[in-house]
Amino acid sequence: MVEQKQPILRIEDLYINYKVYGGYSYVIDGLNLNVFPGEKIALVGESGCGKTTTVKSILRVLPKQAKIAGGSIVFDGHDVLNIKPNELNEVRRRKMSMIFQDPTASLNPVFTIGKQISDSIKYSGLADRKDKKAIKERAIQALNDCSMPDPERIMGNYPFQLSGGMRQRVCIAMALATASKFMIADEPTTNLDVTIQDQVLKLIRNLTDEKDMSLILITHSMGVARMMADRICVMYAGNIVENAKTEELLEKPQHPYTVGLMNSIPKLTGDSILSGIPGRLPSYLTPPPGCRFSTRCPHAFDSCFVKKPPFYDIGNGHQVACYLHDKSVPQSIKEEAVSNE
Amino acid sequence: MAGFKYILKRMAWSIFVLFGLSILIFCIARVIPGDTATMALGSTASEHAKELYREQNHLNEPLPVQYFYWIGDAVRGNFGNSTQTKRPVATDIKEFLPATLELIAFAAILEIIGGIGLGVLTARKPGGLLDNSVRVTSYLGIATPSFVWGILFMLIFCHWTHLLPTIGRLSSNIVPPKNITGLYVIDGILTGNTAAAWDAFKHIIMPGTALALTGIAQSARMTRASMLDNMDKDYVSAEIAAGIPMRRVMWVYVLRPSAIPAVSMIALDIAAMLGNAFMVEQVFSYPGVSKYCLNAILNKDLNAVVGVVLVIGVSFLLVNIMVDIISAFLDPRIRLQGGTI
Repeated sequence: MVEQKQPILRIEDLYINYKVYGGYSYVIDGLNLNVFPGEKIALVGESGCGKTTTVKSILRVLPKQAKIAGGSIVFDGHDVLNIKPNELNEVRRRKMSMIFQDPTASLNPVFTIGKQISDSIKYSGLADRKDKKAIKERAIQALNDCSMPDPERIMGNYPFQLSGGMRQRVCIAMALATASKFMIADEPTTNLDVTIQDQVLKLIRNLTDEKDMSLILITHSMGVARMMADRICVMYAGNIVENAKTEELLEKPQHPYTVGLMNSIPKLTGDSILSGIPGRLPSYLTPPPGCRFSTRCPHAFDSCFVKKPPFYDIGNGHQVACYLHDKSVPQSIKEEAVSNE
Repeated sequence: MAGFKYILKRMAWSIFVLFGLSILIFCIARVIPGDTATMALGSTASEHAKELYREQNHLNEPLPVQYFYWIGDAVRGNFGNSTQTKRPVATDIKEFLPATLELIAFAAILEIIGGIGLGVLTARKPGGLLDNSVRVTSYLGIATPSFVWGILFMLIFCHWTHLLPTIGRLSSNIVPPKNITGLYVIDGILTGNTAAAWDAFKHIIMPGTALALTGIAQSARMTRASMLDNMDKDYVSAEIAAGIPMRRVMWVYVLRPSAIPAVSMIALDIAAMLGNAFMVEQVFSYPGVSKYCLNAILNKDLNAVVGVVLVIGVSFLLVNIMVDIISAFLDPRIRLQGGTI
């Protein structure tokens, strides 16, 4: 159903490098991602695999040392990478918002909540810029939508007077007050305790559903991804390695990295030590020339070390970037590779 | 109101500091070698006259008792007579202090506008043309003492171009305006004597700029550094991602939390100018209190030194209170939690 529409966000062949001492760190490596209107996507992967870099490039809020070296990002008809500053600001104000990772760091410490929400509403064009009353009403409405108790009082508070959960609600309220089509949530619950985490996630899910917005949710928890997303994209070392509908991916993970990731999830009933994935992310300064997971992959064979695997479609919208799914690779090699542990 | 209480608390504390300061100054003045009576009456005075002088001025009492006599006089503005000018020290200070205050006020305005302005502008594009040129010039500004600037200015603006008057507070053909505040520029404007105001202003341009240059360079670098520090924070990305114009983000949202260290530095620098102004006052033969104090030190005119040092000490206290008030205004965490940064 959803797939037949045009994607609202299309990222093609995106390359992002970070300038570091003595060279470049090649982080995002030819990433492709489509998001359809109303679709909720979870971007899953371990720390440092480039999830945040990817989403920050969509809103063009990358740190100064990051350079977009190639590719294109088209959002709702806007060519985000070659856009005029004014048009970019229009996109930021009206169409897309982002919730940042750490609620203690994503609110300005020296301005009141009210001032901060009002300012983003003021520039969104949702209320007349000079009509302070209308802006204030909108802001209170936004806080109300996020089930904030006593929004009038919260408006006069400073961030340090609120708890972490409250602050994250404020961030969500700010993001939702102005966005109409697209929401990016960068690990919105990582710094919150479990009960608050659940509330915040439900809030994001309900509010984006209400407005029929698309969502990219970054998380490293498969549980969170399962609860929130229609589709899960697994990222490893700067690229998406597997992309499938949530149930499909959880039931039939295909990429060796995804399998490893699932095996690393602690289960309440389990009492054995998890198998996990040995090793760590490759160096971005000199990344492996072939598949970036080849250095840690238990099943890697010759081709894996030579050339980056393309996406193989295995039906039902399930895509895997792994040579084990290349039909031209002889079955005997695959069998031998899989039997290697 | 929390803010008001905070200010009162700060003021109460400074009374204690002032008390400590007065003890220190008194001890220094009494411990310095040399017989006070001999210094006051001259070496030819008879032993009887000296004994009489000591009796009259309570110099035979123990030090703590002397202190109370001295502080009693000091709070009434009586610091004794200056041996240089043969007038009460208080009268001298009343005459010379406004000249220096006028000079410092001009330098302070330059330093606040120039330092913070350049800091924000250079932080916007670190490594850009403006940033690099300001950096190179600011090294020059920091490394060059103010009197060298003074001589250089004299050469350029007096000797070569005749744009500005060389020395003093007023040209000899101008009658000083009626004394209201003692600041010629202000008095000139208040009494409608614009010719005098303009002439006095022309006289403070060069020494004021020379006095401010080092501070401008330092505060520009400090503002830039703390701006850059704060620009990496998530909340700045969040503000940019909300489509708030870059200029507003820089001048409002980043400047406010970044201004506190620069404000403290500028304020202390301004207070220090009272004591440091003698370098430019000497170069420009400007009749200020700092030059008066320098001459007093050279002539062992203790009463004058004690008077001026006390004035400088009090102004440091006032400036510190002001810094606390400004910081509390800038950062609600100080105001509402009573903490320090």
